[in-house]
Amino acid sequence: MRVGRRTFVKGTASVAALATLSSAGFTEARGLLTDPLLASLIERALGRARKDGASYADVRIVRRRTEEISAREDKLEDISADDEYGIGIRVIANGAWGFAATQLLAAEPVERAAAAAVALARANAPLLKRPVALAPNPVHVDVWQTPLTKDPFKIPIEDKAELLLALNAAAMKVKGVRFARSNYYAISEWKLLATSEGSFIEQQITRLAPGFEVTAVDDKRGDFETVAHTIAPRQAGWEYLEEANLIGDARQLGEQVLEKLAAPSVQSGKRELVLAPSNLWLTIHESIGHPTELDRALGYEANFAGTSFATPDKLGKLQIAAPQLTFYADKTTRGGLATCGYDDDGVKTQRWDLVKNGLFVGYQTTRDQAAWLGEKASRGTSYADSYASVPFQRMPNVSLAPNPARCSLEDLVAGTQDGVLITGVGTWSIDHQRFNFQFSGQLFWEIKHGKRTRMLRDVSYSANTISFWNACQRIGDRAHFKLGAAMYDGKGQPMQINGVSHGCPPAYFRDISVASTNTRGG
Amino acid sequence: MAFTQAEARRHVERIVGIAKKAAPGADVEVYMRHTQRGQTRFAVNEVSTAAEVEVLKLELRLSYGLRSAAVRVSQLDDVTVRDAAVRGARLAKIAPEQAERQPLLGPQKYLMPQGTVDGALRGASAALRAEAAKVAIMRAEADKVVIAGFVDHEDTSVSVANSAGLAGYFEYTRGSFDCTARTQDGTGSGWAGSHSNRWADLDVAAYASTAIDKAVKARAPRRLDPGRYTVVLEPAAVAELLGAFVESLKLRNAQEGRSFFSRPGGETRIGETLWPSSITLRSDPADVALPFAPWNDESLPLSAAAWIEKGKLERLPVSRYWAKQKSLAPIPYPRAFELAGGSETLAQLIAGVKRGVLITRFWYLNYLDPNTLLSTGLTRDGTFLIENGEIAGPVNNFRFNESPHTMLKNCDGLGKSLIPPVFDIRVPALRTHEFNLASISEAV
Repeated sequence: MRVGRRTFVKGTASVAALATLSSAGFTEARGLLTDPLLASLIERALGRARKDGASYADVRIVRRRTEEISAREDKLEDISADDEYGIGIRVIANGAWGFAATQLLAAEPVERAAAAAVALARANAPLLKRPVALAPNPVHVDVWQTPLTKDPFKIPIEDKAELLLALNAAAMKVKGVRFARSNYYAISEWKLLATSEGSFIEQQITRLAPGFEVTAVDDKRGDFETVAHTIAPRQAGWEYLEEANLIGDARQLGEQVLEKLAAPSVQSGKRELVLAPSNLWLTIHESIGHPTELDRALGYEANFAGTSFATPDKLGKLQIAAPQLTFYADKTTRGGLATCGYDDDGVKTQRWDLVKNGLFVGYQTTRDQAAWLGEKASRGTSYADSYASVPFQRMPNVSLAPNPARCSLEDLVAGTQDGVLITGVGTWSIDHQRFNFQFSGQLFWEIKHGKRTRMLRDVSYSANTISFWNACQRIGDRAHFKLGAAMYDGKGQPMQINGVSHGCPPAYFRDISVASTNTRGG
Repeated sequence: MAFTQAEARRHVERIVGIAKKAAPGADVEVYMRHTQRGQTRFAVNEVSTAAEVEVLKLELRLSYGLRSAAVRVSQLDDVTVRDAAVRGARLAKIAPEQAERQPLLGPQKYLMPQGTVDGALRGASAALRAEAAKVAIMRAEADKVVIAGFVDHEDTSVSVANSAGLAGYFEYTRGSFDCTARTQDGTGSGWAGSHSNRWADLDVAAYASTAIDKAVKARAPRRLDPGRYTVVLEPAAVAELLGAFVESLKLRNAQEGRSFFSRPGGETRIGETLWPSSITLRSDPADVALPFAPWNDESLPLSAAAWIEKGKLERLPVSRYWAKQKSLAPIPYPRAFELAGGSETLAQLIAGVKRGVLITRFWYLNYLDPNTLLSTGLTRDGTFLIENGEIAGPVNNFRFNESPHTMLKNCDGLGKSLIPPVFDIRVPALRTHEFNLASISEAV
């Protein structure tokens, strides 16, 4: 059914829409949030906003459930679970945004919040240069949920604890491994968005974030090293962990940390680099994902997250990367942490290019930003990390398109004369306009004349974003394309987190500055 | 307004009662946090977004001996509390034992610092924040720069309680303002601000002027090669780098051999003089401008403590479990530190430099090597060359690769200790030597 603006005025949309959506099997995700309660709250919030003079209003009721378990060595450390919900009401009044939120889901506090949001917008309106203008958006009445086979919240807690303790035990069997730490985190984000334009969208997003690391200590030298598994957070069900075979990897991880502790430091200098997807995803995130956020490029994040080298005057002109590289944004990628059916503006999600054949061609936008670029529609990247947070532009999944010709990681290694292969994410840092970055990794192998020779440690690589991506000469194919992910990407004041994935194949770079981070001596 | 002590006590007693009934025989622990918060962002010389939010977090921990689980909810009604208790008890019963879990603490005596609540912040409104933003925007327009910033205030109460009679309550207010001014040609940037438990402590006009003045003076920076320099670090830069240092203050990690404070064979560096005699690091929960609950994450009472005294590492925090293992008394990790200041003004610190760099603040820090606390990050929002004791002009930003240990070891001048914007720590500006500015950043 379609619910139009007229129903907002009459205040009957939510009841009809809820009746339509209830068949979608969201009962468990809603918990105590019954249809009559939701309908009543939405009507009161939208109604009060309209009565107080809002020209636009939206209501997000969000329920977040999490489950977290951690273990170190043979001990379970903790088990915890969250189940939090509340309502956020966003309005435009006198051309300005206003927002208010409360966890009290009852008529009076919700109306009070709606009134506060309008009052806030009115207080800020005199400080606007130009009124907020939302790009047109079709009305959507729809449901969406993470495709999964086994709901992780229905898997017994014992199974999860058992998995973590088994992982640690498998790694600790390797003589010399001193510590092992593993953790499991699952989040279910259920949200209902109702807008004064008539959109009514219910979504259920499920994300898993496993973690596993081992540490070895050399008591004689007073030295230690840690290696973390490269499994990425993902939108998925419990089947993701079943298929990952982490226990099968645990022994190898234990052996690798010992090898790393005994490995020589890298010699600083210009090198060839072969970066595995488990490392390269974060470089894409920092040097392509963040610079192409439109609010950042225009100065709206200048006080904290910074600005960007990719300013609008460079659109269609700046050769960010080598011609064989195309980076695309995609909030529909299966398993991507930022994937959903609709963004928090109610815009249907999509895929588009940010960098095409090396040329900077696109930005990430929201409904209130599209007009800044002269575009007629939003790209659908609005997100708020809780009911109490203001939706704003957040990074979609941003990925590097694979090579159409066949090419594997081993092909890239075979073509390297004097280089380093890096897997996993170590330390990371990039400047506030996204030029100068420095990254590390988890494991490093020396490559000589097309062969991996020995493990190295203390490796970091640094570069300027544009010279780095223009130094990329060859990338792997679709068969070697993998998703990495950041569960806690931060932006905004107050800082909000966002989960986002980045797919890429392995890639080969020439003449990159590699430095040893060894200040221990020896 | 956040829950008063009487309101909080009523809620907490009811919650403990419901939980004990819903989970017979269980140990019950309650943590409750209630916040009223207002925020206004501005950028490109106009207001962008703003919010008024009320957030409640209730954590219930249920334990049967060493079996334990925590459940967090956002509602206080009887049904939600009972459901949370039942769920917590179920999780605790089926979970494996947690060998490091400690028995409940009984009643504790917590310090109750006075003056943590400010009426102006408790009743702060959207109009107050809009006025602050307006002051900054008008100054920026008068000086033809572009400004962005954030005004934030909160009134928060936190409560702890357990079924063994422990109870604690703490309310505080907090206001903050910080802003970044950028020249219209994009070649200069400056930043300033502060936070406090009292709105009257925040001089919005002065912060805006400082940020604008820095941006104008930083315009059109000259190139300065990377290298090891004497640097004068303003308090925000010190706070950022010291953050990596104070995070590593943990006795257990040191004794397990995986910390900068480790010595071979399970020994630690406690008792060693690692820094100059001017370096003293302490904590004081009675510092009301850094208002935090006077208990730690294990509900142990916090008290004033010295961690480094005149360059000597005096002690490291130790948890209840590790203290028992090592037959020690637990030492709670503090909520806020203070690096003791000296007597020099910023101008005097600069005057003591023949050739060096003045750094306003750092950005995007991350560890490179936890063995040595080696960290990387970048300078931003005001980086200046110092020559013959005076500011000689703006220079490019840098990436640094340096350890906070080295920053303290090579320190030979300290300013007055204060709270820089954003950070929950008191630190002075300081002068230090051989600081590794490793590469140039083109960012402004």
